[in-house]
Amino acid sequence: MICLAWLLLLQADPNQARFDEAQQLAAQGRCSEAEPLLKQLAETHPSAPVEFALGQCQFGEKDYLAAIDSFRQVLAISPNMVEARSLYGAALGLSGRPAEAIEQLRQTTRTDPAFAPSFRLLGMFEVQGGQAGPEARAALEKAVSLDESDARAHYWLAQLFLLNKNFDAAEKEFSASLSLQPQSPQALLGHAKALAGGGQTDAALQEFQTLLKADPPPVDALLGVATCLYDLRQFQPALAAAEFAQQHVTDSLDRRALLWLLSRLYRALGEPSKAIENERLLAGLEAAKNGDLVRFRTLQEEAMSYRAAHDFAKVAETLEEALRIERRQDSLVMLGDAYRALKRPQDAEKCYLEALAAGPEQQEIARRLTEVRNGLEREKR
Amino acid sequence: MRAHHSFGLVSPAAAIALLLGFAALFHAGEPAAICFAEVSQSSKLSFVTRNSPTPNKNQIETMVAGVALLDYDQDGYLDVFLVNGAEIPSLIKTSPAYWNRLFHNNRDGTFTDVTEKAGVKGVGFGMGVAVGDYDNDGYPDIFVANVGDNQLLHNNRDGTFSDVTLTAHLQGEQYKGRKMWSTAGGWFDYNNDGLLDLFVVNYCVWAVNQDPYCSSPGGSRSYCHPRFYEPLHASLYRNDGGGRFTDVSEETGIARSLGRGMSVSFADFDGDGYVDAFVANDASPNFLFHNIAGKRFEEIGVAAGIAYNDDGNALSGMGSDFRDVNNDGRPDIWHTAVERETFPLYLNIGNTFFAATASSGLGRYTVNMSGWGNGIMDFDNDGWKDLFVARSNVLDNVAEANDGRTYAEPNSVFRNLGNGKFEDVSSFAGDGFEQPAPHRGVAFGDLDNDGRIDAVVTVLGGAPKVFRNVSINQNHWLLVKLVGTRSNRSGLGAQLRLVDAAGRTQWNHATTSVGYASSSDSRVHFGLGDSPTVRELEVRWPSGARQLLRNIKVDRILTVQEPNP
Repeated sequence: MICLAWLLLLQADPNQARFDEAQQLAAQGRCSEAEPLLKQLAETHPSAPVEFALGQCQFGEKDYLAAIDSFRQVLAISPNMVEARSLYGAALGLSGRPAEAIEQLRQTTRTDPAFAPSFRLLGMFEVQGGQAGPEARAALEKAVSLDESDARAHYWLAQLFLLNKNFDAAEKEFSASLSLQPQSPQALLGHAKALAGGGQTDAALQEFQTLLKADPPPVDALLGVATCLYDLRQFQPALAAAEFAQQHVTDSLDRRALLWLLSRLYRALGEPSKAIENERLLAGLEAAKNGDLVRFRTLQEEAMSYRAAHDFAKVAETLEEALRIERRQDSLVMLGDAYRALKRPQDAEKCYLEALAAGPEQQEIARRLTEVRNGLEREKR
Repeated sequence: MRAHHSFGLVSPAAAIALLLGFAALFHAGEPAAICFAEVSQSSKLSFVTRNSPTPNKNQIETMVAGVALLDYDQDGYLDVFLVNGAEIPSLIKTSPAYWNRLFHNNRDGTFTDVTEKAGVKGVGFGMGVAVGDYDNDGYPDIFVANVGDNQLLHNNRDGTFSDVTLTAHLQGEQYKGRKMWSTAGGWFDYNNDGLLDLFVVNYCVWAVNQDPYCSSPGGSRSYCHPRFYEPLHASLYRNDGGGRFTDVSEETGIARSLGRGMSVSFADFDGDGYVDAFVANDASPNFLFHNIAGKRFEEIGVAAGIAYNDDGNALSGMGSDFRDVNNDGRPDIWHTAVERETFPLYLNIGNTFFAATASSGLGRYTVNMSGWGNGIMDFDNDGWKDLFVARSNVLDNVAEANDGRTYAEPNSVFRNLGNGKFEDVSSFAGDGFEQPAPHRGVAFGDLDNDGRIDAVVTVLGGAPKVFRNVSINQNHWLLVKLVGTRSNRSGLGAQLRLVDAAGRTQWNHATTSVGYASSSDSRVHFGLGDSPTVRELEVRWPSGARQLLRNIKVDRILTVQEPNP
C-alpha cells in the first residue's frame, strides 16, 4: 500500500520520467547507467522506491556496502518494506557480515511470514556458516513450501541435507532444483555427492564425470570421480583423477580427503614411499586439530578462573586467543560479557551477534544483545 | 535337527512366536531370517547400570558399562557378568546398587544372582570386562577395566573368585599422577607362549568434576567432545606365569601411540601366525597394531587404511569386531561410531583394507545412528556372518537440538546377503528392536546351547536386555569349544577353517574381545545353511599346531582338544 502511494506521488512528480528511465535501464541490466540517475534522484527527491531501486542496482553490481546504505535509507522511510529488509539482510551476508544478516533475516521472516526469499536467505546463510540445524531446515522448508519453483531454495535445502548426511533427502531436493535449473553445475555436483553418499557409486561417477567438461574442472568433481573409482576398485584411473585434483585443491576439508585417498591409492598400487608422504601431511593436520582443542580447553578454563577473580581484561585476552582456535557460542557469550564489564559495548555487541548466529537463537543471548544496544542508543542520545 | 536344549517357555519356535506375540516375526508370509525375543523380564537379570549422572556432566557418566558371557562354573551354560558404575564424586561403590553382578544360568531361561557368594562385587567406577583363563586351569577369570584401579578376579573353581590384582600387578598405570581411565580390556596370547596376555584400552586424561563446560545444541550443559581431553596410550601386560604380569607397553611399542581408546579386538590379519590388535579410538585415528613375531608391535592403522573415514577424518570409534565377514579367509573390521559418521566396514584385501561402508549399503543405513557395542555373528546360521549393534546417542540432552536426534535409540541388526551387501532387517527382527534405550555394551553367545547366537545388551540407567535368538529356519550349525594344551587353555587366537558338505568354506577364530567394553562366548560358532555335515574342520592353534577333523556331525557343540606333539 505504501509503495503504491509513493508511486502515485511520483507519477505527479516531474522526475517521474527520469525514474522510469532508470528503472528501464536497470531492467535491461544496465545498472551502471541507471545508478547515476537514481543517485541524483535520491539526492533531490529521496523516496523509498528510488532508494530501493538504487539499492537493487548496487546489489546487482555486487557493490554490497553501497547497497547496505541504500537499503538502510529505504527502511528509515519505510521500515516494513519486506523486499528491502530481505535484500538488506542478503547484502549484509554477502559483504561478510553473516551474523548480522541472520539476525536481520530472522526479524524479516517474523515480520512477513509469507515472503519466501527471506526464508531462503536465512536458511542459506545458516547453511553456509555450517549451521544446518532445525532453524535452517525450517526456514528452507518454508521457502520451498511458499515457492515451489524457487530452484535455489531447493538447492540450499538439499545442501542442508547433504551436510547432515541425509543422502536420500538431499538427492530428492537436488533433483527438484535440477528440474528447475537443469544446467546448474552446483546442483549437479551436489546431486552427484548425494548419490555417492547413498552408495549409488556408478550413477554418482557418471554425474561427476559430466562436470569434468568445465575448464578447469571443479576440484570437488575430480575428487568425486577419484573416490568413486576407488570404491569401484579402479585404482589406476582413480589415482590419475586424484593427482589432478591435488594440483588445484584449496579447501582444507577436500585436502584432508584427498591426502587420505592418495595414501590409500599409492598403497594399493604398491608405491608406499609416495603414500607415506601424504600420510605425514595428514598426520600433521590431525595433530594440529587435536592439539588445538586441548589448548582451547586450557584457555577456556583459564578464562573461567579469571572471571571468578573479576579480572575481565585477562578474561578477554584469554578468550580472544581461544576463539582464534574455535568459534564457540558459549565462549563468545563469555567474551561479550567481559567486554561489557570492560565498557566496550560495541565489541560486546559483535560477540553476541556472532553467538546468536553460531547456534540456535537463545533468549538469554538476545536479552544481552538488547541490553547492550539500549545502552549504545542511550549513549548516542 | 534343532535345539537339543529348551530354554524358557516352549521349544518349537513358531509356538514361542505366537505365545510371546511377535508382531514382527513374520514378514509377507515368510519366516523372518533373523528374529530375537527380548526376554529380560522372564530371565530375572535383576540389575540396573548406574552411572550417577551429575549436573557437572562428568565424561565417565555416559560411558558405562560392559557385559560378559562366560561359563564361570563350567557347567556348559553361559553365565552373565555385568559391570556397574559408582557414586560420583567418590567413585566408590558405596552401596550394593553399584555392585558389579554375576548371574548364574539356571538352564531354564532364568538366572540367579550369585555376586556375593562369588565375591565379584567389584571396586570403583566400572567400565569394561574381559574374560580369559589366564592361568590355564580350565576356569575363566575376569578382568574389570575401571576409571580407578582395575581389577583381576581369579576363578577359584568352586564358584568363588579372588581379587589378585596386586599380586598380578594389573591395577593400571598412572599418568600425570592419576591412574589412567581404562575403558576395556582383551585377552590374547601375543607371543604364543601358551599364556594369555592382557591388552588394556585407556581413554583420556580425566578427573572428577573437572570437565570443561560444554553446551548442548539446545544451550544446556552437555558432555564435551572427546577432543577436549588429552589422549592416552593403551597398556600391554605380558603374562609371565605364576599369576604375575609385566607391563610391556613401552618395550613392545604399544605405548608410542596415543589415542582415546574405546575397544580392542583381535585377529591375525596377515596370517603370519601372530595375533594383531585393532583399537577403535574416539575422535583420534584408529590403530592397527601389527604383531611382529610376538616381540613388538608396529602401529600401521594409516598404512592399512583403517585410521580414518573416507573424508580423511578420525571418527568417534566405539565398539569393534575383527572377523571375516565375506568368507575369504581374511579377517575384516567393523566398528561403530556416532551419528553422521556411519559405522565403517573395512574389508581385508590382503596387504591392506578397503573401505566398503558405502558399497555394502551400511553407510546409508547407519549414517543417522550412534552405536556402542557391536558384533559380527551369523545369527541366522546361513553361513554368512551378520551384524548387530547396540545403539544410543552419547548426549543425554541431544533432543534439545530438536533435529530429530534422540538419546535413546533402538538396536539394529543387518543381515549379510552374501554378495557384499547388507540389509537392515531390524524392523522384522522382533519387538525388541522397536524399543529405544540408552544401550551400551553387548555380549554374544549361545545362552541356551541351541546353536543360535543370543545377545545381552546393557542399558544405561536401566536393566539389561536379553535378546534370545528365535530365528526360524532349518539351517544347521556347529559350536566349537577349544581346549588348548600347548596353546592357552581356551584356545583364544585359534583360527578355524570349515568346509561344508557342498565345499563352501568359511573362517572364524576364537576370541572373547568383541564390541564395546564387553566379552563374548569363547566358543567358535559356525552357521552351516543346509549343509547336513561338515566335510573338514581345520584348527590352526596359536602354538602353530594344525589339526584337521573330517566328516563332522552338525547341530552340536564339538569339543576339540589340541593334540600333544
